[in-house]
Amino acid sequence: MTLLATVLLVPWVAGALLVGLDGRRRPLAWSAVAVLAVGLVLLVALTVRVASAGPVQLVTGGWPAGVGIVLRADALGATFAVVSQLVLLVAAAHEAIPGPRARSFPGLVVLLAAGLTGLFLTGDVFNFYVFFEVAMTASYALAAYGGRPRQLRAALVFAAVNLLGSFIFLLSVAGTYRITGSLAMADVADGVLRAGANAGLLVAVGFFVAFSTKLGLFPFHFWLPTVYAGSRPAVAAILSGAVANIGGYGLIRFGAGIFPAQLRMAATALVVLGAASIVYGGVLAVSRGDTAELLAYSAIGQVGYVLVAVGVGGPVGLAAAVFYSVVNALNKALLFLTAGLRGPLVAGAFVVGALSVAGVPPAAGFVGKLTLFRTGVAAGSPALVVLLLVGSALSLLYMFMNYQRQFWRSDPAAGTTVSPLPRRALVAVLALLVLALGLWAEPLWQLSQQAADLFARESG
Amino acid sequence: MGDVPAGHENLATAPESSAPPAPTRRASRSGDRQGWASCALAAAGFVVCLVGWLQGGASSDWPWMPSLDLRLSFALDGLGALYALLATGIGVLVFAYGTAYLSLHLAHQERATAERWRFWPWMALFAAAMVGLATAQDLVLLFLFFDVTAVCSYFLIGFDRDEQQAHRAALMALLVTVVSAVALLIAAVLLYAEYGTFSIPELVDRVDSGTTTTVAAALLAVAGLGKSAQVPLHFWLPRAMAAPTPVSAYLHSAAMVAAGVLLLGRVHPLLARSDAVLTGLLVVGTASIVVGGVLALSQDVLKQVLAYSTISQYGYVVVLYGIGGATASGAAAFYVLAHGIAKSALFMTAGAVTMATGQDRLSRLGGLGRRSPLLAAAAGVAAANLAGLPLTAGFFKDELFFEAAHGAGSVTTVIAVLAAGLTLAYIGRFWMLLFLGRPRTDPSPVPRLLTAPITVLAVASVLVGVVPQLFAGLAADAGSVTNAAPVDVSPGYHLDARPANLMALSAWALGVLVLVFPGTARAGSLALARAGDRIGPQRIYTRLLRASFRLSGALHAREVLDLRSSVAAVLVPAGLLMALAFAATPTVGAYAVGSPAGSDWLILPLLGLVLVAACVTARAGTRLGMVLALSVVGFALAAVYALNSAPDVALVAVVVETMITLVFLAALARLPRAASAARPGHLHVDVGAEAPLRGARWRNPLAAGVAGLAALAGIWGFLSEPDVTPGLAEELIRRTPEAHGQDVVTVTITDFRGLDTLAEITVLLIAVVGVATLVRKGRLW
Amino acid sequence: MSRPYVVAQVVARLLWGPSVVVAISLIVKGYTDVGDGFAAGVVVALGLALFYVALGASAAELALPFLRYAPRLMITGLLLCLGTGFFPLLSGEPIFSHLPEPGAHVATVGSLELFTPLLFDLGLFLLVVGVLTVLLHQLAGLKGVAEDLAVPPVDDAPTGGRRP
Repeated sequence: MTLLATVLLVPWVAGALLVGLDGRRRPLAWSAVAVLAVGLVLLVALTVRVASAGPVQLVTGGWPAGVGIVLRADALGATFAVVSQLVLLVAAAHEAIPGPRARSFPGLVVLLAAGLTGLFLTGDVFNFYVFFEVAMTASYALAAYGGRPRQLRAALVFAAVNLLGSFIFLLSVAGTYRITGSLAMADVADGVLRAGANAGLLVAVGFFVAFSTKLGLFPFHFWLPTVYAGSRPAVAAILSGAVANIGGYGLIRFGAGIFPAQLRMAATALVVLGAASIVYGGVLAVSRGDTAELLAYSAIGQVGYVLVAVGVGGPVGLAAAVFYSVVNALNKALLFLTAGLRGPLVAGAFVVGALSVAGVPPAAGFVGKLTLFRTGVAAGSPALVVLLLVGSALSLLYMFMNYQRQFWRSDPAAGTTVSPLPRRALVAVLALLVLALGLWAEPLWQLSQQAADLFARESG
Repeated sequence: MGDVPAGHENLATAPESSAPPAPTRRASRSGDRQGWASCALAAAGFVVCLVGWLQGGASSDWPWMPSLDLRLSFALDGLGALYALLATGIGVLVFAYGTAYLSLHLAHQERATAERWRFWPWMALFAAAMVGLATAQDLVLLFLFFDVTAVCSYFLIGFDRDEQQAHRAALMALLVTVVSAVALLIAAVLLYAEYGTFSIPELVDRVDSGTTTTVAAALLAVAGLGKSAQVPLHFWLPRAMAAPTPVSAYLHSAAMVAAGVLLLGRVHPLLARSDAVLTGLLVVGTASIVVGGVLALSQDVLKQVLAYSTISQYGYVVVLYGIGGATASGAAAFYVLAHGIAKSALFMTAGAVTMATGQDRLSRLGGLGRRSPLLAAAAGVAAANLAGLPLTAGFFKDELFFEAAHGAGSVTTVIAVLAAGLTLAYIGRFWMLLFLGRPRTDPSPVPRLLTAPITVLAVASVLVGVVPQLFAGLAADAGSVTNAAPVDVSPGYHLDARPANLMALSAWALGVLVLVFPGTARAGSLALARAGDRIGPQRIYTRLLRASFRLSGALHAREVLDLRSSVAAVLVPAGLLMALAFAATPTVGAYAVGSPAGSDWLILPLLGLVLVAACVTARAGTRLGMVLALSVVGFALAAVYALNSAPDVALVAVVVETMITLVFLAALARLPRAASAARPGHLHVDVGAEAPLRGARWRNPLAAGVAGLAALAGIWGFLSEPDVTPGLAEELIRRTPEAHGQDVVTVTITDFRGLDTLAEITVLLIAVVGVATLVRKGRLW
Repeated sequence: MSRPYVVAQVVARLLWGPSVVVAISLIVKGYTDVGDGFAAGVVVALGLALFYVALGASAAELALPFLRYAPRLMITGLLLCLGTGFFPLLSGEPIFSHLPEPGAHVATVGSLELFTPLLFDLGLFLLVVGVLTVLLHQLAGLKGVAEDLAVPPVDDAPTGGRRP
C-alpha cells in the first residue's frame, strides 16, 4: 500500500521541482533520469508483489471505496506502468546524454511519468481522466520539444486532435457516472450491467473513440504520421512507446473490465477496424521514404493487432493484447530512438527492432506473433490468420527495405558523423532487451495472462 | 523498389576487365582470425555431434516458457545427427575455404578487412542455428532456428553492399523464406490448439488424420518447400547467388536449403497422415526436378547452373518424401548427405575458378583442366557424385532413389529416370565446359586453401562410393525418424539386371543423349526460362511488390494532412460509430423528454442564449467576435449552474470564464493581424478566412453536424437513464460532516477527491510550463 | 499603450486590496459556505490581471515586484498540496487521510477550522495565483514572438512537412 502511493509520489514531487529549474543543465537532466530509474525500480517491485500476491489497493482518506478514490495496482496496470516508465527512462537518458535542448524537458518527462503511473494504477474512472490529462498536457508540451516549425506543427496537430479525444473521453466519463451513479471502476462495471442497452453502448463507443484516437487506430489515425514524423526522435519514442500505451490500456481496461457486454456485442466491428488498421498501416508504410514517417504508419498497423486481439477477447486474446502492447511499445521506442543515429551498433539495434516488428525470431515480436496466431486460431477464423500473415509480410517488407535504404546505401557521404557512443550504447541495450524478451518471454507472458485472468473472473 | 525480372545478369564478383591480383598466401591465411575461429567452432561442433551420435544419441529437455508450453527440447537422434554432422562437417571445409576466399574477395573490391566482422559472425551463427534446427524437437523452437537461418542468409547475401543486385536478392530471399516460414508457426499453433503440445514426438503420437491435421501438414510442407527453394517458391535461390561463394557453398547448397527438407523429414509422420499432402509433395518435387534441371541446362553463369541444380536435387528429396515409407525415407536421408558433399564441392570449384580467372561464365571459360589438374579431378569426382556415377557416393543416392521410385509405381519410375538423366546432362555440361576444350583465360594459380576442401570432399565421395556403409548407418537412423519406424538402408553394388540398375543405365543414356545434342536441349531450356520470366512466380513477386508500392503511394496521396481535416477525421468516424451503435440497440423508450417546471423556465432561455452564442462563435468573422461569443456561452452556462443550485460551480465558472476571456483577448491581440497569403509563416487561426481546400466549405459543417448529432444522441441517451439511487452524490453529502465540513463541494475537492484536485492543478502547472516553453523557451519568468 | 488609461489604473490599484480580502474570505468560509482555494486564487489573479491590463506588463511587474516570485509560488503551492496529501504515508495510513481524523475535535478560529484540508486549500490557492500570474507574464512576452518564429502554415496546408 505504501509502495503504491510512493510510486506516485516520487515522480510527482521530483517533476514539480524540476520544472522550475533549468533542465538544460546536464546534472538536472541526469537527476531526472535518476528519478525515472528509481520510479522504475519501485514499479518493478510493485509488479513483483502484484504478480506474486495479487492486486494491491488503497482508498484515499481511508474512506469507503467510491467515496474516496481507489488506487489499485493489478497485473494489467502494473505491466503497462513498468513498460511506459522504461520507455520514458530510456528516452530521457537519450536526451540527457547530449543535454536537453529545452529547460522544461526533464521536468515534463518526469511529470509525464507521474501522470502515466497514476493513470495505470487508478481504479477510479474520473481519477483516470485527471491523470490522463496530466499525461496528455505534458505530452502536448513535449511534442513541441525542439522548437522548430516542424515540431510546432506536430505539437499543434497533436494537441488539437487529442484535446478533442480527451473531450470525448470526458463526456463518456460523465455518461458513465450518470448511468451507473458511481466512479470506482468496480462499481461502475456492476452499474453498467444494469444500465440500458442504448446508453451503455453509446457511452462505450465514446470511450472507444477516445482511446482509438490516442492509439492512432484507423480511421482515427490521421494526426499520427504528422506528429510522429515531426517530433524529435526521443519525443516520438515517448509518444509511441509510452503515451500511446494509454490507448491500448484503456481499450483493455474499459472494454474488458467495464463494458464486457458491449465489447462482445461490438467484437466483429473491433476486429474489422483492427484488420483495416493492420492492412492500411502496413500498406502505407511500404512506400514511405522517411524513416520516422514509415515508423508512424507502422505504428498504426501494429496497434491494429492489439485491437484485433481485444476484439477476439477471451483469456488468450486479452493476454495477447497485453503482451503485444508491451512488445510494440518497446519496438517503437527502440526504432524511433535509432532513427536519428548513425554508426556501429545502430544498424544492429534497428535490425532487432525491425525483426521484432515483423515478428521474426529471436526478437520479442516473435512471441507476440505466436500469441496472436493463437488468438486467431482460438477465434476459429482462417481469415484472421491470413490477415496476420499479410500484416507480418508487409511489415517485413517495409522494415527491411527501410533498413537497406538506411544502412546499406553505398555511402556517398562516407564522412557522416557517428553519433556519440553512449547514445548508441543506449539503443543497443534496449535492443538487447527486445532480444531477451524474444528468447525468454516467460515473465511478461505470465503477467499478461494474469492481466487477462482479471477479466475472466470479473465477467464470469 | 522495383525488381528487375530475371535476366542473366553478370554476377561477377570481380570486375571483368582487371586481372585478379596474385594472391599472397600470407595475407589470405594469417589475417583471417575470425574465419579460423569459426572454422574451429564448426570443427568442435562436428566432433561433439559425431561423438554424441556414436554414443547412441543424446537428448535434453528444459522448460523454456512454461506458461506458453514451450520447451527447449533437443535430441541428437538420427535425423538430427545427420543434418548436424552435415552442417558442421561441410562448415569446417567451407569456413577453411572461406578464410582464403574472403580475403581475396575483399582485396579485389578494395574493401577493408574489417568487413569480415560482417561475415563470419553470421556464418558461425548460421552453423550454430543449423545444429539447433537439426536437433530441435519442439515446433516453435524449430521455427525459431528456421528464421534465424533465414536472417543469417539475408545478411550474407547482402554482404556485397555496393551491388544493388545483392540488396534485391537479399530482400527477396528474406521475404520468401520468412513469410513461408510463418506457415510453420501457424501449423504449430493449429496443432497446439487441437492437441495441446508443441513437441514433435508427442504430436507424432497424438495426431490422427482430420482436417486440422491436413491443413497443418500442408502448412508445414509450404514452410519446408519455401526454404528448400521448391517450385513455385524457387526463384529466390538463383538470385541469392549474389552472395559470396562460401555462402553459396554452405547456405545455399548443403545447409540452409537443406533445412527445408529437414523440416519435412522431421515432421514427416504428420505429413503422412494426409494423402493429399503427400501427393502435393510429389507434384511439387517433380516440378522442381524438371524446372530446375531444364533451366540448369542453359545457364551460363557458373553459380546459376549450380543454383538451378540445387532446386532440382532437392526436388528429388521432396519426391522421396512424397512417396513416403521406409525405403524412401532412408533414400532421402542418404540423398541429402551425398548431395551436400557434392554440391558444396562444386560451388567451391566455381568460386576457385572465378578467383583464378576473374570470369564467372561458362562461355568465357574452358580448358582449365590442363592448368589445374587437381581441381579438375576433384570437381570431376564431385560432378560424378552428383550425376550418380559408380564409385562415388552419388551412385548409391541414385540407387536408393530409383528403388524407392520404382517401388512407388511407374509414374515415379519415369520421373526418376528423367531426373537422373537431366542431372547427368547439366552437370556434365558444366564440368566439360569448364575443364575441357581450349583454354580461354590465363588463370593465376589457385591458392591451395581454395582447392584443398574440394579435394577432401572428393576423397570423401569416393570413399563412400567404395564403402557406402559409412553413410548408410546414419541414413538408416535418420530415415527411421522420418518414417517413425525402423528403416534399413543397405546400398551396395549389384551386378544384375535389377530395376534400379536398369533405371540408372537408361538415365545415363538419356543424359549422354542430351549432352550430344546440346542445341535442342538449350532451346528447350531457354524457352522455359522465357516462359518463366513472363508468367513465372518471380514475375508475380515483382508485380506484387510494385502493386503494393503503387497502392501505398496512391493511398498516401489521399491522406489528409491539415489540421482541420485531421480533426474532421476523428469527428466523422466517431459520429458514424455512434450511429452504428444507435442502430444496433433498441431505442424505444431510451430517450425521455421531461417537462419543465419552476426554475427551468429561467434555464431554458439561458440555454437558448447558449445556442445562439455557439452559432455565432462558429460563424464569427473576427477573432474578437468569436471570443466574445464564446464568453457569452460560458457566462450563460455559469448562470445555469447557479440556477441548478450549484453555487460553487457557478462561482468557479464565472471567475474562470472571466480569466479565459482575458487570456484569449491578450493572446489574440498579440497575434499577427491576419494571415496574409504573402507571408505564410505565421501561426494563425484563420477564422472564416479563405477556404483553400476543395470541398472544405462543406467539410466543416458536415463534420460538425455529424459529430454534434452523435453527441446529442449520446448525451440525451445517458441523461434519459433513470437516476441511480442511492447515488454517489448522496453518499458524499452524507459523509461531509464526518470530514468536518458543511460545503460538500469544498470537502470533495480537498478531501474525498483530493487526489483528483492535486492532479488537476498539476495539469495547470504543466500547461503554463508548456506555454513558457513555447514563448520564452521554458523560462517561467 | 503609450497613453495609459488613468481610470483603469486607479481601479486596478483600488481593487487589488479588496480582491485579496475576498480571496481570504473564500478560503476561510470555504468549509461552511460557497468557495474554496481555487476560486480564491482566480479572484486574486483577476485583480492582478487588471494591473496587467491597466498598466501594461512591465509597469505592472514594476509596481508589484513580488510578482516575479510567481513561479516559486506555484511550485510551492503544488508541493504543499502534495505534502498535505501524501504525509499520511509516514504513518502508513492511506494518502489524503486528513487530520484530525473524522469525528475528532477540530479547533476553530471563528469560522476557520484548523485542520489539514486547510493547508491543501492554501496550496491550491498559491498554485492558482502562481500559475495565472506566470501565464499573464508569458502572454506579455508573446509580443513579437509570433512574428519572429517562422511558423509554417498550420492549417489547411495539405502539402505540409510530411512529404519527404
